[in-house]
Amino acid sequence: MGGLVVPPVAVASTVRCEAVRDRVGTGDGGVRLERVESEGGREPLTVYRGGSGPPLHLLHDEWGIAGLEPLLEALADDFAVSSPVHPGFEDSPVSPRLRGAGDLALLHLGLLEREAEPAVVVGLSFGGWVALEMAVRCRHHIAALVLVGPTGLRFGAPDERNFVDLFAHDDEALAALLYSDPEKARRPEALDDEALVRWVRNREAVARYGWEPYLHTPGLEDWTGELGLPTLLLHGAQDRFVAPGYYEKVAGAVGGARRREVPGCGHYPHVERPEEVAAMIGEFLSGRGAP
Amino acid sequence: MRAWYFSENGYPYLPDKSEYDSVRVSVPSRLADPRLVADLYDRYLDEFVAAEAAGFGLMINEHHQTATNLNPSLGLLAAVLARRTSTARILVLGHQLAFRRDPLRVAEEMAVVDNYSRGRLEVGFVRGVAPDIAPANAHPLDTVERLWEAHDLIVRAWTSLDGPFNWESEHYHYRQVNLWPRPYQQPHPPLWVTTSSTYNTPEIARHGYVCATFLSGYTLAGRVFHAYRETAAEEGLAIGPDRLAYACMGFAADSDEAAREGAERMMWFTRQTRTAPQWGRVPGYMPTNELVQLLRGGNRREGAEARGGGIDGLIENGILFCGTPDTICRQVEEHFKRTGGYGHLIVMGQNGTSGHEETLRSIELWGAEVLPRIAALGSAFAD
Repeated sequence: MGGLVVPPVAVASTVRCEAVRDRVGTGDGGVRLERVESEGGREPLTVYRGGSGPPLHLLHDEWGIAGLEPLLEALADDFAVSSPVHPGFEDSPVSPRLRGAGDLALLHLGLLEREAEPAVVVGLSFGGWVALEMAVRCRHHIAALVLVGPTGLRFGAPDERNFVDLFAHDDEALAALLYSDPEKARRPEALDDEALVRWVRNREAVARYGWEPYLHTPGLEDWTGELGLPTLLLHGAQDRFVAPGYYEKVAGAVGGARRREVPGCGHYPHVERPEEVAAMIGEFLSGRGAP
Repeated sequence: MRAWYFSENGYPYLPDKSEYDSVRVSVPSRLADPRLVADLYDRYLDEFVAAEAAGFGLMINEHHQTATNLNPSLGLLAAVLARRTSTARILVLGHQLAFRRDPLRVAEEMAVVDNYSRGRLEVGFVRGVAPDIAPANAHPLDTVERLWEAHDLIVRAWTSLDGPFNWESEHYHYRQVNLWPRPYQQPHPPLWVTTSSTYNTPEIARHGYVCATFLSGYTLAGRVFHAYRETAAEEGLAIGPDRLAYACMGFAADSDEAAREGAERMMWFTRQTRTAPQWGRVPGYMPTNELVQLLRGGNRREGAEARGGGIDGLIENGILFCGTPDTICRQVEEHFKRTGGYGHLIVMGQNGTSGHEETLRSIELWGAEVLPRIAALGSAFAD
């Protein structure tokens, strides 16, 4: 999608029928998450939600939503968390009108419009790219931006690889590249048949949305300088998914971003240290006097 | 039966497989000695010329960033063959249309080769195999759609004779399509499509193109041919065996033993090299449940099972026709019968470390003592 991008006009919310499918999560800390299936909009959506407090809209990463329960639960202590599965991931059907991160941004912005107040938007890796695409289009419904190991921006000469090619390594090599503790890797061998189907669909979805240009939008940095949003940029101190110095450049390109490292983590601090990431988010938002 | 000679034209001088990660995609090009490559190009051309003399048509294919195949450009090799040969038909099988960003370039090059060969070209289109995705950075999703979309544009470009036309399809945008020159053969060269499953076969049948299946043994080949004939019947198309093609490995020698030894050398790439798994397991390229099965270690292809059984397994499964001409004729006849019959036999007559002299002898024996005896096959279906 090149050229002019028009922010969505606010429309009356389509009535959605929602059904709670099951309760998920570890159950620690007394917070229960629900998995809700939502029909009636252009796409059927699966949404994980729980907790109470100001709205927080979470955009999951390229490995799907399985494994993110500890983070969701930790955030649900202080926020009403809502995490829609990007169509095509997990069990959710592919939507033909969603061809890239920009289209996903339009979908998620439409969901934000239904909240009673602007939401904190948290984007994890691939989800961080979508969050940036949302923010450059329309900030009316975004209270603050949290980017955890985001992709979306690319810097440097043509032969400077910004991101590990997720399609160019076997599972063992990927685990070592992506995680400080490779045991935390979301790998296929340990999965039962149904979970393996979801794992494969997640990989297909990453190809669908992020194949070329690879996990970024050329020129997005031309727009991210002027977001005017409270923005926290978190990344693992041992992140080998990105080129050295990548997040320093992101911090420079995203106007107003505050960068903090999460020690002892690779590319997915929200998987390796979810409570710490939630705490850093909470700290940032209360420090800002956020909702 | 029309016979075609084919070789992947590989570079078999690699060090031990422990010294590099993968023979495809990431094998470093410093392992290719340019002098040896040039020698191999000369040698393989001589083998194609010998095959022409033996009565074969010539088939070539294209792969990228691999030591298993030194032909990354069908157009280039086809053009060379067009000038080194004079009577053999030249079958390019095939252009990886789903991986080519500029289908018009394919249309142009084929028109040129058809003229250089004065109408001896036959053109094949394929989806492309998974290890060629990374080299092209081809999008792995919607490859079947792109194959047919590019095909539609190419055929239109060959046959549109009255000046520029517009073409804005989902994946290809041009505003002034006006191919020069047009093909020698009118309206265009005969078309082939390869398939490795029954999924794409009905579409090939509906277009009336030759449907080729490679090294698929008895069961899968039979299924593909059956699917083609069934679709043709449904569409009310009267077709003959010349719509169906089977590609085998083939090696002839003066004794069964010598032929087996030559066939063992053909297996060098399969046995002595590996392709790193990520290059073959590209998400979105195959249906979800197929990739799931692949990850679980399942592989239903007869070829893979047969490779576990060695040369005997390959022969038993109808993938390799190997022995004296007498032996080979029996093998071909059995395969023909059991699969329902076909009109084209593509013989992969060299691979791996099989040597130049034994390959020439094999080609000679095929030409002199197999092709005449199987010529009558394929004038009618087997059933």
